[in-house]
Amino acid sequence: MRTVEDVEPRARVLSLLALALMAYLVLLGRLGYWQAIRHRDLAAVARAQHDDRLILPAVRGRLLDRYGAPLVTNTPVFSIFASPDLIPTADRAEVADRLGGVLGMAPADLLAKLATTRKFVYLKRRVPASVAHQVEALAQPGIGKIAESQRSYLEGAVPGTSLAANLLGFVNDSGQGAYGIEGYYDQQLAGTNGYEATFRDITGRPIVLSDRTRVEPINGASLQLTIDGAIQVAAERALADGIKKVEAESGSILIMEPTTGRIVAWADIPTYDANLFSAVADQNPRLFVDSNVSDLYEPGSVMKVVTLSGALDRHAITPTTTFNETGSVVIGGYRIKNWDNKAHGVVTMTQVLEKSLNVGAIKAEQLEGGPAFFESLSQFGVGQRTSIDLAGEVNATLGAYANWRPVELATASFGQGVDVTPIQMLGAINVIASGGDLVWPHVVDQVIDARGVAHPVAPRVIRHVLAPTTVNQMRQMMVGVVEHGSGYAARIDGFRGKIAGKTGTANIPENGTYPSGEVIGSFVGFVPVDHPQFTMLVIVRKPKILFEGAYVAAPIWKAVASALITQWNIAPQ
Amino acid sequence: MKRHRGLTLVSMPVPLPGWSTLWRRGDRGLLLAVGGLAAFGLVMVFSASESQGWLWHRNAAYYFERQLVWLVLGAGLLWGCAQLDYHRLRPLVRPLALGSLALLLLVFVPHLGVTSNGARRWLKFGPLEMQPAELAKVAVLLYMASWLERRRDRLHSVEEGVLPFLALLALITGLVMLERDLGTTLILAAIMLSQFLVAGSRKRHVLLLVAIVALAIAALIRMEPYRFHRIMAFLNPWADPLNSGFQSIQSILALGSGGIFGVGLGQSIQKYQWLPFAHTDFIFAIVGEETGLLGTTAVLVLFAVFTYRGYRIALRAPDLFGSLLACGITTWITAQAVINIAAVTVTLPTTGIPLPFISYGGSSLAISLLAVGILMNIAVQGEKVGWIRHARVDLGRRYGWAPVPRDRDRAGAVAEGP
Repeated sequence: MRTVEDVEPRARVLSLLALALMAYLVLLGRLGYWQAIRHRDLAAVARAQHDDRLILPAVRGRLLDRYGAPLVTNTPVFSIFASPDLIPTADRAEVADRLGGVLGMAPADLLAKLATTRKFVYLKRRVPASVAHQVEALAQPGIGKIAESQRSYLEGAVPGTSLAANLLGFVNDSGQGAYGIEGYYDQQLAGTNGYEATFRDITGRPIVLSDRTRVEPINGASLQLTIDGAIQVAAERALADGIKKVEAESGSILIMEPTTGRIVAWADIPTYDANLFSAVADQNPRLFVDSNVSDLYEPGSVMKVVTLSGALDRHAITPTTTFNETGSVVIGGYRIKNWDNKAHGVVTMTQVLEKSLNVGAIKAEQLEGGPAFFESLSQFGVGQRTSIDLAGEVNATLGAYANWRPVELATASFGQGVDVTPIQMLGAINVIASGGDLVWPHVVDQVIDARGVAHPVAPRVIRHVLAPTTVNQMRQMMVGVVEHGSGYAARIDGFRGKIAGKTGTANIPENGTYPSGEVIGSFVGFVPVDHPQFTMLVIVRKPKILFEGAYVAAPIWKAVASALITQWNIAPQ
Repeated sequence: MKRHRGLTLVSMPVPLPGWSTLWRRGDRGLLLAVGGLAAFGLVMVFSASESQGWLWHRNAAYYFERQLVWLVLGAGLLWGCAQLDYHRLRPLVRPLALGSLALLLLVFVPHLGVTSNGARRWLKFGPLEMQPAELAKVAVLLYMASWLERRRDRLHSVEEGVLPFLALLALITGLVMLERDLGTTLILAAIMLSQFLVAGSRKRHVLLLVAIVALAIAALIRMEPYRFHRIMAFLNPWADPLNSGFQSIQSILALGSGGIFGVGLGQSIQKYQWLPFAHTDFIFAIVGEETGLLGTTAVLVLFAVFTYRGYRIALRAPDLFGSLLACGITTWITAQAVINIAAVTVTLPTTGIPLPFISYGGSSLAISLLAVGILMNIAVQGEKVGWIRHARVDLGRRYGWAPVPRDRDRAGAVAEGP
């Protein structure tokens, strides 16, 4: 016989048990949610709140010239920071007031920086040690300093600039290398910061019982550059003087060792003071751009060296090949004239180069044939990245041959309508100086790691371009340019007949046409002709007083070449 | 019919030997669960309090040492109560209830009552501090067991059963509420209601009373601004992570940091002042951080074992009084564990009660163990088939729930013992 009372007492206790077990299950579910599903993100939040990580900064590597002289040094500075969460809101105005005086900042600006929910904010970067000590003396909780180091670059030859600023680049406020070598080699130079990790309790005290993990910093590698400091100074000075003389807008000097591709000097004016990079960034960041790798230009007649070398190498012409030069030629409906608008009669190819005759260059291009000419442009590295170890190299590819009209090939033969970077052009002409090889230009000679072990950078030949006979023929033709032709301003006493060169005067294109008046004058040459020790390209942009490369660039080339000859004890042989 | 009163058993010379007999005759599962929780709790108290102990007392083991002393004392109380026939507690019921009532009122006497963390729930006699609420739980469950047993035939009556019960409920919970102790109030209500249910009241009355309690709590929360804020903080702790939401956030950060396997015993970071009350009310969060989901699940399982064995003892108790006592004690520990863990896991709002057997807090530990002792004694006297099962044969009687213990068999069983 079952009644309600029969089963109830037992059922009631069991229902209590069931209720309790249900509650336990719910709690188990909650625990699973927090501990298994949310484990990752909650652990990260917890770590963020109690991990205390003291960064042990790696010392940035040094930059040395080819003789080991430092081009940049590290100066200790301090950055002042705040932990706004440790400064009560009510006290912030007063803190900003006191700090403003020491840091030389408007209290309102400081107050704005403090008004944040972040736990860390920089108040002022890179102040000298004296200011940092004053801040420390305030003994304000929540305000601290971080020791950092700042790059100090050498003074340049031009007042208000630093030496080789465009080549070296700089290190920005976040400690990252920007532009040039500092940009390209940032990772190696920076090294790896170490840290000391510990935990802190809620008041910021380190937890004494906890393990400390200390990871030592790995200092950055130092770079021994291929740059010759003295020549760099001479080049910058000569370029500045030359530019001033002809009231040009800007200019470049690039010098490399012919067979190894080592860059000896690298000037680019206008330039800037890398020590004041933040002011430059505010006023004229365009100054950071290294024209030698980051700007394209039409090289003009310097390109004739490439055109004629290609034709010689394919035996389409010889240095003594003659033809009747009529002063102009019509191609594809366009009449192309010489720079002097004159007809020169029967001339040899040597004379074409010496007198820099556009019609002659077109003749050589036509004798060689369009496809072969186009091929030799590529062989000389025109339209190809040099892969120089500097940040910001640009390139304009030649594209497909099919896209080139005959008139474009014709103008390309004397360096118009084809865009190159200065380093590309230097590399192309250097093929003659190196004895027929296109070499890889580079600025770092060896990487010296944190332990002091040097890792040399091996020179590389990109490709073999010209046969030795062609090289010799072209070298003599280029000597002719200096001895008998447009390059006379580059002659150096004691080196007569030993200097090979070529002038260039290019019109500057603007929206597809060439508005008259604005030109780029350039001179490229190497010395001594039989065993070249260096190849140098000088570019002067938009001169106002004289125009031709012969007048504006060759004298600068001569000045720097003289310095190199003296400095390096180069004999004429 | 003269023997029907369980009291006749009491006078019988039941041999009450030591631990070994407790182990054989008593409830092993219960003893293992409590022993496991208390031992683990002692380890966790050391781990969770070492920072606090060092900071405040220059002794990392400060809290551990005290907890150890209380644990030994508690074990003694457990043993003692297990020896003491629980029927002998009957004469103590009334004085204990009155004394407890007096202590609860004393909290409001200036200089004696101490306010801590916004709640006035401590009594201070010289160096001794105690929370009368702890003792009140034991007093209430004893008193209610006796009261309900006496009234078991009138419990269906509204005037004589339900209303007097409601009055008692209101008086007791009201007093504790005045001390701003919502957690203890909830536990007391749970104890009384569960006993009321098992004693044989009408189900609809129990449900009605549960509804009244729920409404009262809702009203109390709405009335007290700090309680309302706690609720809001519970609903979204991240809204105010540095103030009202701080404890909840630090608690789940501790749990979350532990993951499945934990960061290792003693390796907690949250205990370094990040988590307030790390060694008391929120020790379970540190358990979660150091031993992971495995550790927290193990603790939950031990509590579940306790609950199961506790209610099983209630089912097997020789009489209604024992059944109600066992039921009250089990409900108490269970409710307290659930409410505490629910707060730690941000499943319910924080109420500020310790985790039984594990949290630091001597008087709480000792009194819990004392209660376990009572439970053990009920278990020792229990039978495979308790009074509830025997109730069947009595169904035709006027007092349907009169216990019919099989005295002789029981006595014989004991006599045949060790």
